[in-house]
Amino acid sequence: MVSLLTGGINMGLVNKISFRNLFRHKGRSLSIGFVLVSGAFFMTLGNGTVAGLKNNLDRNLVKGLVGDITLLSMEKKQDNITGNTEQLGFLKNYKEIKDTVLNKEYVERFTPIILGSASMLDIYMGQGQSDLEGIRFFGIDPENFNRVYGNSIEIIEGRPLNKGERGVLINVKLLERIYNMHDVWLLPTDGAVIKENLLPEALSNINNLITRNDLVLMGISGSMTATDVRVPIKGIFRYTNMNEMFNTFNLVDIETARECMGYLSAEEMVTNLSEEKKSLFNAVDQNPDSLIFENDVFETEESYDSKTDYTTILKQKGITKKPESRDSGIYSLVQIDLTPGSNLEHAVTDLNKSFMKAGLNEYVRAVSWKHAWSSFYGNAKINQTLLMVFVYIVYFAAVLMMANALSMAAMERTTEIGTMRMVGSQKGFIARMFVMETSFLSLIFGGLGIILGIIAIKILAGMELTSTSFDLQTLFGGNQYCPQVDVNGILTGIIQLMIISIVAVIYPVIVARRIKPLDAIKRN
Amino acid sequence: MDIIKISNVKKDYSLGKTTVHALRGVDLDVQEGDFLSIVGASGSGKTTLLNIIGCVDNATSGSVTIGGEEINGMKDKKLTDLRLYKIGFIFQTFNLIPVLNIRENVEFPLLLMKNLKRSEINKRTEKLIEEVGIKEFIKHRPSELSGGQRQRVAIARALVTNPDIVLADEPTANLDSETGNNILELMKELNQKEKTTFIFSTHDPEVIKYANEVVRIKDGLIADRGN
Repeated sequence: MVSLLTGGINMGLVNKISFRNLFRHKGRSLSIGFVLVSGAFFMTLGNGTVAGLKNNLDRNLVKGLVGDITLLSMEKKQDNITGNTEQLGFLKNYKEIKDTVLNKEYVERFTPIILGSASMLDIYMGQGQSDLEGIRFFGIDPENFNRVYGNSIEIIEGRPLNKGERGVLINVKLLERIYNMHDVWLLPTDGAVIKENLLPEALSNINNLITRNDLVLMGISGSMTATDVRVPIKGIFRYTNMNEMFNTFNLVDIETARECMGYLSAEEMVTNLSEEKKSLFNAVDQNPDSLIFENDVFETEESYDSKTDYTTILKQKGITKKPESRDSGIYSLVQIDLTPGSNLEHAVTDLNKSFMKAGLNEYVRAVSWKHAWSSFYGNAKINQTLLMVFVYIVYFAAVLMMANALSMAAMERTTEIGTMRMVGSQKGFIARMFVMETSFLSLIFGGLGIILGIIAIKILAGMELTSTSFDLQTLFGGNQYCPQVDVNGILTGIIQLMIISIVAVIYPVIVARRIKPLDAIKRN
Repeated sequence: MDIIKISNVKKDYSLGKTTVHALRGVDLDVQEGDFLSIVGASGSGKTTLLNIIGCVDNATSGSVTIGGEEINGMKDKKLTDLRLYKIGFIFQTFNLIPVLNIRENVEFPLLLMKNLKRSEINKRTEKLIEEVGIKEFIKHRPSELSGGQRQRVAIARALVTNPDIVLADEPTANLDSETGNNILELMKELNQKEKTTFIFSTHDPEVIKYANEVVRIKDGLIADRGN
């Protein structure tokens, strides 16, 4: 076996000559070594940054905000939920969907939300401007959100939403934009102006600062059923790790989200549309004006209150099928976190098969976060690709420089190689000699480069470098640069180094193999 | 028995648009155990002839037989084995491997041979090192030795494989006359002792006197051959 690998060549002799040649040609060895150290260093750093980006994305974006899998309504044709204007719709047959999903052993968390957008109807009033500000939001169940994603946000002013409470948490970026555009400073209910948090312009105008602690939201749902809802501001927040990427998403309690989006009740709107409602819709179709003159079309205030007794209301409306809990089941999407080690693609496929088996595939589909949040994933992917391109440029440069130096070495040693050939060395002996020399160099200097790269990664990770730049946050996969090195990263570095060495030695070996015994004599 | 048989060998080199006829139809037979000198002026073709005999250059036409084997058209791998097992080389510039010490240089061709036991390698190496008188330098590198000492190492390396033929291209050209004479006497002694065929090229009349037979080459042709 060994003989097959070595071609019957005395590898002890090859190793001896190769190793001694490294010391004999110190200058060349050091120059190749420098290339190898630099190449291995930057490759390790690049690999560490890519690994950090992936890990950060997983921690900050996937586990921290959007989940591994998103369940989308089939009303939504495109998988990407943020990069287009197509309405999300809402999930019909939510209960059956939930039962199907929760049966899966790979599902760790199931978080239904509403993802919506609304106009802020009275935000311009302070300065008499006519532009309406828009707001995007996650409609959340505060109790569930705080439990699952509580660490993903940081309250700057006010407090988080409490269980069953109405309110909105405003992202600090929206706060600043509203002040810059409309000269209105948003404050949490009962909150006082905190000077330290004011923008410089607001601070200079503190005596005349116009403040508000509530918003009137009118949902943009495309269904013509959106209503306007006044909602108190409970807090100002930022996303702990991804604020530059996610700052357009504010947090609204689920009931307010449903109301302003016009999602009244799953039972009413999806499954059991009453005769009363059916006739109402018919009337709208035939004579829209009739609505204005019929008092009973207006919902009372109490029907939107968080303490609403849906059972009572539904009974009054002649609806017999009551919701099983306060969870009325109206959500625009569900975020699913998988148990550690689960295969994402397999889980998506399995869920969709299960939906089909349960006859739910008309209403819902499972989509990987990479597709659902492709605008974020795409940015990360671009950065990852750029980093990999950088690594491959380092690769390429290292290969070229090494190949050049080794080829020069082969030519410089024409007499020596020619003599070896003359006294009986086969071409394979010469080739192995060069491969071994390159291997020694790669092992010593490449290994050193990898070690230095690991040290640099540890130092950089320890420095906890943060950035508020969007570009850097997409590069870091969060607000903090967390390059990381693990066994896989080290193995990748070693494999890359081996590939570099192998590729770099090909041409020099060809050059060396071409040296003929006669060349030794000619040189003399 | 003819160890070397050369018939009508021609060798042309292209130098740009010019063709140089280095050998113009050489016929030469060499007997086993000969101590033969090829002499001629610079550019007469003696080195070319040695290179062809040594299987390091191809004849443009003609036939070259070494130990009964026709070498024209032979594959590189087989030619290399032929050089390893049947031919020893001594160069004007010694051509030792700089990173190996003297002992390692001498045993180098033996380590290239297959199925040779370490004990046999040691035995042959030590014998040759002793015979050429460089025992005290075995741990030295070639750069630490004088020209004469290096050439002795080269002779030991050439003979360590028990070759049928030893080719020496102007082996004393880089040595002073006393050292040169010592080297030639050593070669002569080994020729007589081991019955190895020696062919060396030279244009030095002092060197020629050591040869049993002298082949004069002129303008790519054998001019005469005699004792």
